[in-house]
Amino acid sequence: MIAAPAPTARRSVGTVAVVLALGLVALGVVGVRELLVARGWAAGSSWTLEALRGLDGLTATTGVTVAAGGAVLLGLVLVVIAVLPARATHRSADGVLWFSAGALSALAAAVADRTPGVLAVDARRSGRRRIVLEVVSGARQDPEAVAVAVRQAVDVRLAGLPAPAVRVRVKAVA
Amino acid sequence: MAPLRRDRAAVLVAGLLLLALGLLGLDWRADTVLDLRPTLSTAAGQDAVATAWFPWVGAAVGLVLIVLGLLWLLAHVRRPGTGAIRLAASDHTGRLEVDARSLARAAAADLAARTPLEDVRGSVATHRGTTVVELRGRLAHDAGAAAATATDDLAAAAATAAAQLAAALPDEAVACRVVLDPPRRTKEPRRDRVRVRPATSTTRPHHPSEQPLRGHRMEPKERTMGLADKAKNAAQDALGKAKEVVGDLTDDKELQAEGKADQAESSVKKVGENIKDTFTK
Repeated sequence: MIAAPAPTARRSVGTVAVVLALGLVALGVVGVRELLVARGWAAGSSWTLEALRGLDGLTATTGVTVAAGGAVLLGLVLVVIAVLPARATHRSADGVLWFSAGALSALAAAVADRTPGVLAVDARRSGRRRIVLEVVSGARQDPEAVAVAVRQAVDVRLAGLPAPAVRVRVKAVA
Repeated sequence: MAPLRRDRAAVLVAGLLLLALGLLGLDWRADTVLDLRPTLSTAAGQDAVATAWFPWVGAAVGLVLIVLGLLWLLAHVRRPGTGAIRLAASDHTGRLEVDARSLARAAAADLAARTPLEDVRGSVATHRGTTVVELRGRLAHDAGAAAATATDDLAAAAATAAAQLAAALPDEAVACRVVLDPPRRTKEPRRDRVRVRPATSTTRPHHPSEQPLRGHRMEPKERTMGLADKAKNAAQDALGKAKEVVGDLTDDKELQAEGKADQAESSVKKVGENIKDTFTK
């Protein structure tokens, strides 16, 4: 069996490319319109000529500087989009079974929820590689002991999975 | 050129052009690198546009741009393709092809039947010349516990699915991946937990975790029925033990046997109750 590639998020470079392609078509339409207008086959005046007349006599005003700054920013964003690799959305330990961060945290929460002494569990993710399990323990339970039990249960049950770093916070019922 | 590489190259060129134009605009104001004229003159451009040849050249370039743009857009339209994979066993008597999407769908159905996964879908894609069969599913909401206790089973089921696909297509470069997403967000109450609150809950301060907001709460009738059954069992067990002891003392074999039978019956019922408890938890 050949190793499957990692599942990745949809690349934003494709979306930008579609916008650029539409821009290319629009530019082409402007070019063809020049001929139609020049030959009198369509009413109106040349947009290219109007644009050039509008730009004539332009000086380096604040507006131009702001627009130039915007172009620099947009250009940088496009360069980054073109260069960055696609983001991996799932992680795997064996190359066959791939878990999303949400699936791993749901599994960890399910394991913690079945640990003796645990009344309720809320799983939060901080980043894609960290899970924080907020555990509510019984009033007569030792929170430290419950935290150790939960951590052990999660370690044992999720052994062999690409388990992210799991933090356990225990709060005892008042 | 592969569509992705072409997109990357085009976006990179567009980005660099914008960057260069922006930097030129900033330098115009700052006047540090290039010695640019303070006022922009487009007189030469206007003269060019006014010539007789410009509209023809503009239209020709425009047509080329339209065709290129449309081709580029078309490359982004997803074509489902036939999904057929040619098998090496094809010969002069005929072609042997297998429909990869049907295979993926069958593998998805099989995986859904063997694992606590929902919405399992099979799809086929090509990645750098390799056919990738993807089986994507969600962990079932109330099967979280099952999945948690059987993560090894999940890995084993995924490996089996991959092995079955590899066996179905022995000569092909086929990769398989099983992709798991989190459970679907749902407002349905969870059915896998029981919360029993003490009857005099007013004597203790409330805590959010004690509120039976989610899940199934055992009704009082249900609870007393279960307790009554257990009490009856215990009584039968005790009666059986007493009969056996009396039978031993009086050497009455019939009473001894009756006592043992009573105890056995109560223990069977107890097992039944335990099973019921397990399933209602």
